[in-house]
Amino acid sequence: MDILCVEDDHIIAKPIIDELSAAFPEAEIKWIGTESEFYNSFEQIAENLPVIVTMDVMKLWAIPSANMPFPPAEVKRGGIHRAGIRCAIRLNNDERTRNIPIVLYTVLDEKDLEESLMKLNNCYYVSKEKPLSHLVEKVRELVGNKLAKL
Amino acid sequence: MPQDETIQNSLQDQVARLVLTALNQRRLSGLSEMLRLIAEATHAYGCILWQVVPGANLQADPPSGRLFVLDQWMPGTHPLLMHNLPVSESIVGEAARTGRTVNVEDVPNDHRVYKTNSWVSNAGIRAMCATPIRLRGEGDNTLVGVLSLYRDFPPPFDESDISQFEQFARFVPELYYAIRDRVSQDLIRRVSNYLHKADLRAATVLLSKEEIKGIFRQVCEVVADTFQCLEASVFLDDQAEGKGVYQLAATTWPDFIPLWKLSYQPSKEDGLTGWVLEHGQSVRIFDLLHFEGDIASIRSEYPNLIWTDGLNIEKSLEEAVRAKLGLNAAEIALQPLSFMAAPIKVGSKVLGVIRCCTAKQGPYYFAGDELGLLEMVAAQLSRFWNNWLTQRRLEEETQAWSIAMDRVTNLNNQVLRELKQRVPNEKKIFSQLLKIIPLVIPDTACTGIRLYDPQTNALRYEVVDGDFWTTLGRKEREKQLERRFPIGDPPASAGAHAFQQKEVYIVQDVDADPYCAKDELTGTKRAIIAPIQVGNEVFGVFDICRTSSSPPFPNYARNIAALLSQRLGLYHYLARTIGELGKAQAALEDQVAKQTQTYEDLSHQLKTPITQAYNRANFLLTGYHGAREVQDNLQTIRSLCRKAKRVTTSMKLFAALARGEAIPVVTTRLDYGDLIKLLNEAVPDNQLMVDPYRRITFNIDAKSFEVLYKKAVFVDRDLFEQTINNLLDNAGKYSYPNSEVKIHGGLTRSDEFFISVANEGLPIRPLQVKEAVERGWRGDQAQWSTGEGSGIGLWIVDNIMQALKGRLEIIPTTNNDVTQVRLLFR
Repeated sequence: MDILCVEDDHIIAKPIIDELSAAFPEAEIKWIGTESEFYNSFEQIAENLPVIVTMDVMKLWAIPSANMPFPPAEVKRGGIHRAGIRCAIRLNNDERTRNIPIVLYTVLDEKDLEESLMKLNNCYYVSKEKPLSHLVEKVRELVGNKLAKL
Repeated sequence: MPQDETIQNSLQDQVARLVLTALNQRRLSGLSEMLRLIAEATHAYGCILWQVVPGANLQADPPSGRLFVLDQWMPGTHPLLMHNLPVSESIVGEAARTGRTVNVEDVPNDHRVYKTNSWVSNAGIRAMCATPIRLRGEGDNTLVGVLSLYRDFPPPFDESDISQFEQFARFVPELYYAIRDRVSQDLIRRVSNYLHKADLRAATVLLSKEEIKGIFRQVCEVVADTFQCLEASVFLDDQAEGKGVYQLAATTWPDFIPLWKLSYQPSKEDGLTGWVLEHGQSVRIFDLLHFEGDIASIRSEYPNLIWTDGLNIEKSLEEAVRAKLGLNAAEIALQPLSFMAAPIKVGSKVLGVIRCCTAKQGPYYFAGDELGLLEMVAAQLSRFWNNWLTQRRLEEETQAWSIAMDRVTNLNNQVLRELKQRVPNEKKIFSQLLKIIPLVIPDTACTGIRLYDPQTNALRYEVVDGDFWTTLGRKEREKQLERRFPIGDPPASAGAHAFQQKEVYIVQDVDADPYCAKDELTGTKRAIIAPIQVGNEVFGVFDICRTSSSPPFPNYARNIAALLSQRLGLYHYLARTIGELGKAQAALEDQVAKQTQTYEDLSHQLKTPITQAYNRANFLLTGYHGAREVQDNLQTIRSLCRKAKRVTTSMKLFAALARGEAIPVVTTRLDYGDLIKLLNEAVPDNQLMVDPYRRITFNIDAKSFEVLYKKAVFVDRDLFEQTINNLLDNAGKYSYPNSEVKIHGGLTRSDEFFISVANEGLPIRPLQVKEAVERGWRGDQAQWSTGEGSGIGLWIVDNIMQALKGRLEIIPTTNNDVTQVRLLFR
């Protein structure tokens, strides 16, 4: 895995994956939808470190199903609106994943995330209101060299 | 000087001495001084003044009744050995019967002289004479009296002696009354002086109970001194110590009273004193030792009078009197034990009694005049005691009000601090107020506040206080506190009565009260129950209770209870109003926060499709793409635009509804073709928004909508489209993977056209159906399983359906996890 895209809306995820694939044809793009899916996949992520993570901020805990996982207290307390921040903190807090750059790709304004960005290590912001090329450029700026070597 | 003239001068001298002696007397016993002068003037051994007992009949055959010794004079301390003589068998009786002087020259041999148990034999009397006199009785009546002289040496009384004796006898009654009048004036003056001095002191300071008792003791001593009696006592009812029990306040014979009684109740069962207290009338008994013999004449004057002798009072009284007077020899006849008592009262209210008993020297019999005099003393005591009670009551009341106002002022400050809280702790305020009660209403054993619960239409305890509650066991206490007192008609409890009447209710006897419910205020005797109210609105009742040993509540307690209950009402009203305002404010803040959150969510929901539509359009406009790719992206762009349109309409409707505005409606007929076209566009657009990996299919049962050929349905097209899109959006978001969303229509039994969207997914339980259409509602699981949404979808649909005169129906989730939502149109 080279680039991890965490995005719960498939309408948004598909163009991201398409754009990143086109920009970095050698890179493998992995897509994770929900917060619970991210935590479930965390060990895999830690073992097979992505070069960069694009992270949606507001995202659902799980897709509806008869055996839907129950959210932990922290998620219940914080709600869905800052799920991406919790995922980023998880990456930051783990020795193995703390140096992975994270790009928060969100419809939220940057000022709404100011406090979280200050606390998070190696974390960046790109607005979803901008064309997708902005995200691609940010990825290139942060890890372009590494991806080019692949 | 001729001998007759000498005798005449001597007689004048004697009469003059008699008059001067009488006028110098200050006690009733001054009568014996007069008898001494008569005996000395006539050279007699002794002189006795007799009186026929009331009720005697001198003209009967044989005559009935007896004579008793009113007073006597004998040389030295010689005790009188006999006090009663039968009128029918004695020289004295003969004088009384015939109205003439009777002279006996040879007493030992004259059979007319009554000698049975007579001192006449023992004293060696040789001659005697007796002359009748008229004594003043009650009102205009006259009583028959006899004055008798005795000699224990010869010669017998001659005509000159008898003439002189008769002259003296004429003066005796009037001089006696002169003594009595003087003594009366002296007694009243002395009592007045004591009380006047006490009044002067009481003008500046409230005299203590002990000081008051001291003053009554002085009065008793003056009365006993005047009437020469052994006992003069005062019994008073101090209402602060218990109504209906008259305690000994003062007595001149403290050694004997404990043998008799220390307190009385107003009942004929409680002896002579009890009768006086019960009837508020005076009693005068000629001789207690002849009480049973004289019972008929006594009861004719004092109906139903009983001299209870359960304690063998007669015997103990006789023994006590003999011991006190040194008459230990049984053969010595005891003097009459005369008794009189007068009520101390104000109007018809009896405050106490003053009584006298047992004159230790003559005159032995308390006459009507003596009783009148005692009544005058009683009247003075009444005024004095009533003034003191009033002064003490005012002092207590002033002090109670002062404390109450002081504490209420302090409480106001505490209440103010508490009311500054968003949700004031009312129990804390109530508890503080209950602490005030024992300070202002003495002997309060327990207090409680019972508030009205509209849900059960009953009163229930909110707060209680007082030693009484702590004496109850835990279970009993809990049982009491859990009790409910229904507000019925008629009221089933004293609390309910006070609540309904909206007035302070005094329970004088909990056990006998007509309104008290079983076990209500149990363990207490008296209670004040005051309604807690503001204006006409009553919130509950406020209980103040006393135990059985406590006296009745003072009058001011009612007013203090009314004041404090009004305070409670005010505090409760303020606490409730402020609490409700606080809750309303919190709800408003919550609503504003939710509203803000809703706008943020809607804004987010709008940004995403617009941005994505822009990106897709931009993608198509840059470079060359295959026809399928163009088709797919255009389809997606339409789908995103539909979503943006839906969110925009939701925002518009949300804003209008939040402002309380009606949704504008323009109706047109919905035909089959329009509906199918709408669904054929809306369904794929909504399906496209669902992640294809979830494999959720949408299925339209077009045939079921053919009813529209027969049924005319009118809708606002834009609003109708909004409702369809909202339902399809929800179905797409909350359906389980690999499930189907079914859209079908038809007519209900009541000929309503309906469109149903049924899906298998997150449930809506029966109890959630009502709240599911409320603003901001999201199911427990739904809020974690969708990244967007503000819980206003069904709320908007419901409002639209109301505007369209239709209705939204949610059929709760079945066992197969299928939830059906229907739009119904008339």
